[in-house]
Amino acid sequence: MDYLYILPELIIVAVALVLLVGAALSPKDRQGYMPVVATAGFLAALVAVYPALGQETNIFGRMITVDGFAQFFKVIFLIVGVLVTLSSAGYMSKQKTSGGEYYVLLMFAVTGMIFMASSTDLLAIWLGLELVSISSYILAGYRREDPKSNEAAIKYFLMGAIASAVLLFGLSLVYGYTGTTNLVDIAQIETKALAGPAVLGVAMFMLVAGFGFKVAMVPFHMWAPDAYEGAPTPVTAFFSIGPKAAGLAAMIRIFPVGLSALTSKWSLLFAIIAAVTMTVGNLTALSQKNIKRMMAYSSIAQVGYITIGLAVATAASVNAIMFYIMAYVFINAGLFSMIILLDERGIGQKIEDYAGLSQRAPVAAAAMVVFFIALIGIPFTSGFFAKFFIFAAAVQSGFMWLAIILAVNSAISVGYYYGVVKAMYLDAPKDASPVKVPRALGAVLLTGALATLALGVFSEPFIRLIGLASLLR
Amino acid sequence: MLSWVNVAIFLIAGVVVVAVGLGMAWLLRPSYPDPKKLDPYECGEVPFGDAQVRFNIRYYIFALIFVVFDIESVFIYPWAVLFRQLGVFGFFEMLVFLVILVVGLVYAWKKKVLEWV
Repeated sequence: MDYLYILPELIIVAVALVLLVGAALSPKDRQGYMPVVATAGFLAALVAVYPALGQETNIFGRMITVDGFAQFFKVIFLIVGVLVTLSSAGYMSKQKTSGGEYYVLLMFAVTGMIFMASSTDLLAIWLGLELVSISSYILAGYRREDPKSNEAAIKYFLMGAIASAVLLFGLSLVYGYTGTTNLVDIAQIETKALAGPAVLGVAMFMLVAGFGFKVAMVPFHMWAPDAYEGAPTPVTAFFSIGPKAAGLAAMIRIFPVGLSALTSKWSLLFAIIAAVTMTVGNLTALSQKNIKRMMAYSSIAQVGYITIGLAVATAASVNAIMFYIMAYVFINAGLFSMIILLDERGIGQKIEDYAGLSQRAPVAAAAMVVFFIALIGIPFTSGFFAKFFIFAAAVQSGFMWLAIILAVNSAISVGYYYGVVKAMYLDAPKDASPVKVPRALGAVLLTGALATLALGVFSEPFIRLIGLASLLR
Repeated sequence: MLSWVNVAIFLIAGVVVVAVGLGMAWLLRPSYPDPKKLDPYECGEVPFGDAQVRFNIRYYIFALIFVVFDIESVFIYPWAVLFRQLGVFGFFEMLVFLVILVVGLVYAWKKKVLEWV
């Protein structure tokens, strides 16, 4: 039965539908059960991944693939769901808008992400992408009464719709030329037959532009800072890890696997995009005053580092991307739990609002330092290995210049991360009253910090895990 | 190659049939124009006002709810034709599909989308 393999997805959708009815039936002040049910749904789905582990098969007329790569991302995305739900509960309960639909949309978005990573069919990938995108547009504008949130949603929607159209056009050209939407079949077409015509070159550009928008690569990143700043802070946390990781997973399925015959073309394209994305992201982040905008540019830079892995396109670099995404999810979820807390308490979103946080919430401030260290890529944190694997893969395959740009950019990024650390530890607080961390946010913070350190110190088992889940051999 | 020739023949034939029909009517019919006849046809009503007006945003929500029924009919017809071959599994599969659509309708209903205020 095919349905047993998509049990996690079925569980999430079922819970989401129940919550949707609940959101309509129960009054706003009695929706406290929603985040609890959503978390339980994600955890149940995590358990449901277990029976299918280690199996490899195709289901639903080869639209969906069950393999290690899909299972790996399924687990990552479900963890993202749990972490984001936990960090949203307090924030959403304080909003004017009813909170129920928020969790429903989040669960639909996670379902779409899972389908993006686990399908080998161009149309199924696109469908998953649209499920993520449409849920994300609404999530970005969830604070209806806030003009900034509206701006974020409109900007994200208009540019996202154009990107979707471009992507779909690209997919249709691939279909028109190859006669199939199945990536496995496309991969088996001979190199000569694929590399010749200019049509596929155009299609490839469109795919890069469409996906580049979704994961915010430069020059398709313009929407990101405004959408990140305007969206409710837990949604920003979700944007920075969820849809991005899903887009990158789909890109791994499409480029190094499906269109491997065109490697010489897109490899250079990705190399240039990676170099520009890292540099623009880091240099612009230096001058940001708002921490959500700073993290938007930081995440653009991180996508730039990951794009090196796509440009190199070897087994080692694809594994490096997987490790990077795994590390990045925990770092950003943990870091954002504190940004959410300070925003929720009305302390602020500016970097100067973090002044003296080391006295007001010493443990949380220390955890934030761990995350910043990991984002820079200093040893004993997951970020070090993440960058190291990308660096090593680039050097091995003769992309020395990209590796050097990566190292230079890591050094630049110290500048803006240090700004926040300095504010937390060296600046005097305006108001010295302690900031109490609620239990749910504390759990996210702790999970993030422990995972970041664990991946940095005991990375061996995780590397072996990724080797098992690897898509390229 | 031959199949494309067929397409071309159909294309030309289609254009010719319409052109001949309209052309003959134009040649043979008497022409007595008057202002009432030249009015745009609006289901027999006397047209008034401008067509370029703002529509109430509520129409948009109604259009969205309509999609629920639209999708329903699109899938139910082919399903009904093949009902015997699909068997019990097909029956429950359609039931699940309908439940999902009904959830959407119930949500809209409870949110008072169906009331025109």
